[in-house]
Amino acid sequence: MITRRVRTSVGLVGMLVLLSACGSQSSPQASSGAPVTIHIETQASGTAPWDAVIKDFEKAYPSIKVQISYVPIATYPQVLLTQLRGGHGPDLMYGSSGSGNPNSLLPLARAGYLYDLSHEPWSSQLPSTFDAYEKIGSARYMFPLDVPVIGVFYNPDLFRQLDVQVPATFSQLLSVCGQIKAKGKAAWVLAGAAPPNTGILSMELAANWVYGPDPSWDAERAAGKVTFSGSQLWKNALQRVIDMNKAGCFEQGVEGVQTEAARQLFASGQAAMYGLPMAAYAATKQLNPNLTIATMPFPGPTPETSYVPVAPSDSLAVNKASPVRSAAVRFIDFLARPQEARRMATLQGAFSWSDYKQLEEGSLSQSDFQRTGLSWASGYLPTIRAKRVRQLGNLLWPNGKVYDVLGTDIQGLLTGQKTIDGTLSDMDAAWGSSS
Amino acid sequence: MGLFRYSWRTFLREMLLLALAALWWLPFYILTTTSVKPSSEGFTSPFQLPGHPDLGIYAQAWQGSGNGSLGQALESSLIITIGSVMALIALGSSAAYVVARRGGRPGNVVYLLFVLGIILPYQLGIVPLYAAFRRLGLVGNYAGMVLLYTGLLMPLTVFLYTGFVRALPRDYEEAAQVDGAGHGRIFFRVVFPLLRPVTGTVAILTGLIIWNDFFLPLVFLSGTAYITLPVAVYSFVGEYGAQWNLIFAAVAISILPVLGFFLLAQRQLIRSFGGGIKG
Amino acid sequence: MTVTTEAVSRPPWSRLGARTGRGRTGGKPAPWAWAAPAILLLLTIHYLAIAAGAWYAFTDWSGASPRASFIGLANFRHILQDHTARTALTNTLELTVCFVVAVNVLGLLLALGTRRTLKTRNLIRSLFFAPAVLSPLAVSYIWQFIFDYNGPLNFILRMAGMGSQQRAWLGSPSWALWTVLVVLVWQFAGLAMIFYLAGLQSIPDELEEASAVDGATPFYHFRRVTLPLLAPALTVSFTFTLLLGLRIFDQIIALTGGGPVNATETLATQVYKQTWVYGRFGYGAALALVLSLLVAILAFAQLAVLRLRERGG
Repeated sequence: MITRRVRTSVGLVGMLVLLSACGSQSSPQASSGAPVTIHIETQASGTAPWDAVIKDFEKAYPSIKVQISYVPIATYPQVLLTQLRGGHGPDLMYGSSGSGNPNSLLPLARAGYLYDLSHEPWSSQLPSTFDAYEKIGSARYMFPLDVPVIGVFYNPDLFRQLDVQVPATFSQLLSVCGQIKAKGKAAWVLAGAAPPNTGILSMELAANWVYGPDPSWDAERAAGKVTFSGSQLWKNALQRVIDMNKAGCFEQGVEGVQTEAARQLFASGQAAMYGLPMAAYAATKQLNPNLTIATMPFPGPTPETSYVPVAPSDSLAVNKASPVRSAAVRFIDFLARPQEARRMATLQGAFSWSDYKQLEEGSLSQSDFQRTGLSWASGYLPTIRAKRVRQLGNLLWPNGKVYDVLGTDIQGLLTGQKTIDGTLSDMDAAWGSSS
Repeated sequence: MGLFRYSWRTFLREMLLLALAALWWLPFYILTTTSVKPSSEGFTSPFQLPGHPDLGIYAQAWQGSGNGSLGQALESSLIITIGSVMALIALGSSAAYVVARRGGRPGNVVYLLFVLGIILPYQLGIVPLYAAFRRLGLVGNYAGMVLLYTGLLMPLTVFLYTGFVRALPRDYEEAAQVDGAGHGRIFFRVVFPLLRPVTGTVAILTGLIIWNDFFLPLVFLSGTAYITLPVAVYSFVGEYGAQWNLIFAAVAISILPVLGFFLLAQRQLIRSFGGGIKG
Repeated sequence: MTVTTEAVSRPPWSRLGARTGRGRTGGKPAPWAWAAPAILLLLTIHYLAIAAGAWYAFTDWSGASPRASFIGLANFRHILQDHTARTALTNTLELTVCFVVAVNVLGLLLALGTRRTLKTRNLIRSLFFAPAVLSPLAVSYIWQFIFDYNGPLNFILRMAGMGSQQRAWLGSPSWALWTVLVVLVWQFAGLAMIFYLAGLQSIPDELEEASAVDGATPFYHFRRVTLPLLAPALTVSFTFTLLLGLRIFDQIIALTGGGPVNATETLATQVYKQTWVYGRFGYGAALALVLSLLVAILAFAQLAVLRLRERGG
């Protein structure tokens, strides 16, 4: 008797105890009007914009609760993919538009994880420029949270304090680097060990030296008419990284610097310039609220040949398999309202979709910057008004690996492990590898 | 007898080793002093004692990041670790008892299966496991993590227990059997108490592995309120970047429980790691 | 008490692969049902899941798409041509060999040094062993700070008038792998020390004294008396650190992320990246299979060699 009882307890109860909580997680269904919770997953940057819009949304829809979780940037794509593969994604997920980033949403749409939003009222109002980033055929799979201009953040107080002129051309930039270095600060901060950040720098260079002269270069690459390694334009662009390194532009030990440290260097006034998308404004200010940030396009050969990449990169998508999908879609519909969209975008530090049309037409004015709460970024105004705006090339590349290889190899350019030709042929190889 | 006398050479050796040990602990010194210095001083004078130690930074770190407080993470780590270790001991010791005492071909085959389980790369199975756990409602909660760790560390547990049981003489069990005791009574009254040393080893080894694990909770618990300490610290670094004082306060909070446990139980701990080696 | 020490005294490791045909049929043996939960967990969470995962090694599954088609050995052929995979393999072997040697030499020296007579031996041992129980992630953050360009290490170099030796340690192609090694040795030397201390405790004092009375030089004594008796500890410590070294992951991800440009990439980090970062699940699974084969082969080869020496010595 004892034997049997013990056998039961050791053999079965152990398992039962472990498994008992299985059924405890039942998710409430959306339909009945009972309160539901939708879960947003995003990568960790500033939390303030999300806090604000979630509060607004919960006020407007008291029956829907919003729960948000922030995953560190470096692992966000992996965590998200694992959850989706396991059949349990968040109801709403942040991601980059297009297909060329590790966290891009279009590959997820292609794999059938995302819900088609093209029947939502706002979908037809979005600028058609966005379609390439957001659509497959006629189906739109994401909502653009904001539209950042990508350029240079600089610290005007530091320039004044060091008595150095803000550079307007690339050759001025190189001489400014020497001046600032001689005064014990870093001219340009780069997270040399973080491919996403070296990638941003290279896309700014590409805007000036590749997409500026040849706006359709990516289309030609996609058609197989050109290659990276055969392109003098790309060689010109990457040569600028080496030039900057030789001129002492970057902070000391640049090849070992991670994103967080780089951001801190800039925010604490140790470095004068930092290449970033506008949407990094909130996170940078969070590190040092007293920091003054001004903007300019990456200095090209001349001020007239300085371009800025612009794209609706930050996006939000709905999980097709979400049990509370209709509530999740309602959240996006809410965000798409022009005031809410602008509130979110402004807090993030970028334009909203509804302001983009003016940007594209070049009809933005100084007062528009003030009206949208973005006057700190009015350094981009002349470039925008002159329509020197280019796509963010990498978003439209076929897979995330090309961009990752580019970012990694730039670290190699800094350490001498890689040459320009080697980098470009690595990119060609990655382009061909299946996504 | 001269061999073990405390001579001046011994003194020299002692001083040398103490100096080396101090050097070994330099990273901990840097950790604690940097955590209570203003962010700007961390780099400028890394070895100086802080002028005005700011303990408030620990309160700030305790608040955690957007993903929850360190206190909540500590609780999760404790529940998952203790739950898994208890399940491992219960299921592992009884299984090892059978495997060791049955012996013969089936016993050896089962034993070998467990040993192979130690070497096999569990990483290969993560996605299928994740899918299956999701279907069973075991993702994002304690029960799932406990089940996962119990399964993943069962080979190591059974391996340690089996080696130990095999070396136990059967005399006590046989005597108890003669007295008419059943298997359950024999196991609980006679065998399990004799297994105490190896139970300690199992608890400590598996407990440390689970407590320090980063990847599995990152995948299985991200986005829930149940993230464990390593994931919480990781999120913390993601959010607070290069604010080393804040990060080091979080790191210090996260290693304190283990370090404290280590100081309290170091004899048992050292025996656990070295346990299997004499002779 | 005697029973327990007796039981402890036989390393479970020593039975790897050994047959234990102790089929004594004194009474009815314990029922298999007791082992059922553990075996069930083993079969599902290990074998079934790994088999399901390993199957992908022979497919082109991208992880994102729901479809996977069978492509035979193409992934393995690709590994042979993949430059990054080769670098990762070289790094893994280089790092593991240096790690195993360094950690065991240091561990043995520490064990011999703190063996007896020292008044503070327990304190010293604890101080050296403590890092081994800490989270690799937490430890890595401390060292990331130390190796920072503006960090304490370069600070010391500046103070010592060696400012020209300053560098971005974790970003340097020629140094990054060795900085990772430093962190690993720092964390695990104490662990090896514990293995050797346990081995040393089993050597009877009389043996040592006899040898000392014979007037043997310390080195001769160590080679002829201590080392042969330490053979089992050597086996355990080498095997344990080998397995640890081949699978090093957390520290690299937290310190360098595999950079600069693959300079610290290992098989374990490549498995992770190919699978989770690039979404090449099939290829990642193939790499994982290669890694586990490597682990199995090296572990058993080393075990065989050490076992042979144990017998011979």
